[in-house]
Amino acid sequence: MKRILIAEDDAFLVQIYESKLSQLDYEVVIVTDGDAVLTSIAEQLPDVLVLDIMLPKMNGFDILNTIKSTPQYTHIPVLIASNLGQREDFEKAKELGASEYLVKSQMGIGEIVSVVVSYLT
Amino acid sequence: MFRHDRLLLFLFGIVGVLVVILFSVSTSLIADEHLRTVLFFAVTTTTTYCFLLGLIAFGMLRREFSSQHDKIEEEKKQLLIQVAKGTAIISSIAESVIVTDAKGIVTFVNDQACKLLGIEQDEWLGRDYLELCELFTENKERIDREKRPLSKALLHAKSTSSSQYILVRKKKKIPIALSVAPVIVKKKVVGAVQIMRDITKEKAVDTMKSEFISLASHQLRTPLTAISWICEMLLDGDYGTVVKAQKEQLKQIAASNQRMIRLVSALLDISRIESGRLHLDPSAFQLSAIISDVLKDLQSQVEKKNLKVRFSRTVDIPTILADEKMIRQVVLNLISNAIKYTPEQGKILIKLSSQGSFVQCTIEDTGVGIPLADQDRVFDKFYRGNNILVKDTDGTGLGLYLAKAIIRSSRGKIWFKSAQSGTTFYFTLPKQGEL
Repeated sequence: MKRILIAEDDAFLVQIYESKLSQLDYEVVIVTDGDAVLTSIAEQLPDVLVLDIMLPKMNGFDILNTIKSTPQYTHIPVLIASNLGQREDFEKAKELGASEYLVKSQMGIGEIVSVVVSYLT
Repeated sequence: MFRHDRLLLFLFGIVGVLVVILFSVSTSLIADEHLRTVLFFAVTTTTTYCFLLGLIAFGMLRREFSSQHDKIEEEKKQLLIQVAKGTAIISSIAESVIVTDAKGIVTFVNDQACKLLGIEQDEWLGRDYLELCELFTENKERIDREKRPLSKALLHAKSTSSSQYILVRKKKKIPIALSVAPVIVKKKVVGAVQIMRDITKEKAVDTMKSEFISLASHQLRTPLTAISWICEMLLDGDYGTVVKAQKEQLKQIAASNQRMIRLVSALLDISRIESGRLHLDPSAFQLSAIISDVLKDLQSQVEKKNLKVRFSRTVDIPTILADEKMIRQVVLNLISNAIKYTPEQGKILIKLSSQGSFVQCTIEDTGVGIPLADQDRVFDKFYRGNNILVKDTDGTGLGLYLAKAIIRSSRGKIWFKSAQSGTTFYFTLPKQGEL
């Protein structure tokens, strides 16, 4: 079964992700802080990572940078899902190797899930 | 003229003295004593008259020279006072001032410049300024000697005004605002004056403000996102069946929530515009492509109101140079307004034309128009026309304010004409390579 790792610290959004993704045939792992993302990546080796930027302990850009500079993880598509939506944020994420930049407030949960699923098929 | 008269009198005196000498020599040569006596009296009278005139003139000239000398001394004193005042002013201002000659050799620096670069006053003078420090762009690209503002001032008489750079001296990086002006005498550049301001603190405050705004907008958007997603899932039936009446209410919640999300985004944009941090990223593109794209996005709203929308353009519309994303926002805003405020079966005409160095876009509708009393405030922040408040509660009152800010930042103009029969908005943007 394909595995989705979601890094999101907002409790409500976590519930929504779980609720929406549980309808699909994927294994969903949710972590709520930056350190846990790196631990989970090593342990779970997910097929896709949905990564928020404003996370406790370590921000999403630093996590992305670490993942993309670690040879065994570079193949994992990282989809940034954040409410930071400035041009500088897009450019920084792109520069660091993010596959997508999704602004959560500008997209429906259905659209986000569709994008995630497109990286698993 | 007056001075020349006195000089003439003085010359008379000199002539008189010469005549006396000449007479003394010549009388010894005349044998007739009577003739000698007559000649003596005639010459003596003339000579005395000339001599007295000469003495008077000499006195007057002396007074004149003395007066001129006093005047020069006074002017010299005033000049020294002015120089001292100028030096005191330049020394006391917060900006660093560096003056160079035509070769870029430093001839004057104030204390601030010494502090800014950590160079003693004595070390500056006689040195080539361009060798004393390096200059980088804000993007950290090194600027070659011949492209530095001072070189441009000295070689091409070109001024630089309040541009931001990074100054590097002995590996120390200092963000500065820099202005340079050539000193021109008789159409020749004889030097330059460079004024620098350390903007380290401003940059730090700017960064803090930027971080605060990003954080605040993030924090505001997150709960709004949760509301939006939950509404979506409820409406999709993810949490069970929802009856029609409940669906209607959920749609209202979702619409209000979307409005709040737009408001937060608009406030963030406004904050960035007002703090001068709206970074435009100009690229060359066809405005017609943006308009077609926006019309496609708004097609469902057009159909819903059964509006007739026509888009016409002349064949020779060149590409424009502006921030595509921002201009799309302006076009979307103006066409959305036209759709929103035009009654069913109304008409919207969009025209693109070439006007000198600009491309002009016209958006004409047959809508409700803007009341005369409201027209002065149409581009104001949070302002909404009285006649639309009752019909439309969805607007933020920020769209036209943002549109104006974006167009002006893109070196274009935006204006409108409105009557009861409809409104026409116009905006211009510079053609690529024209400005």
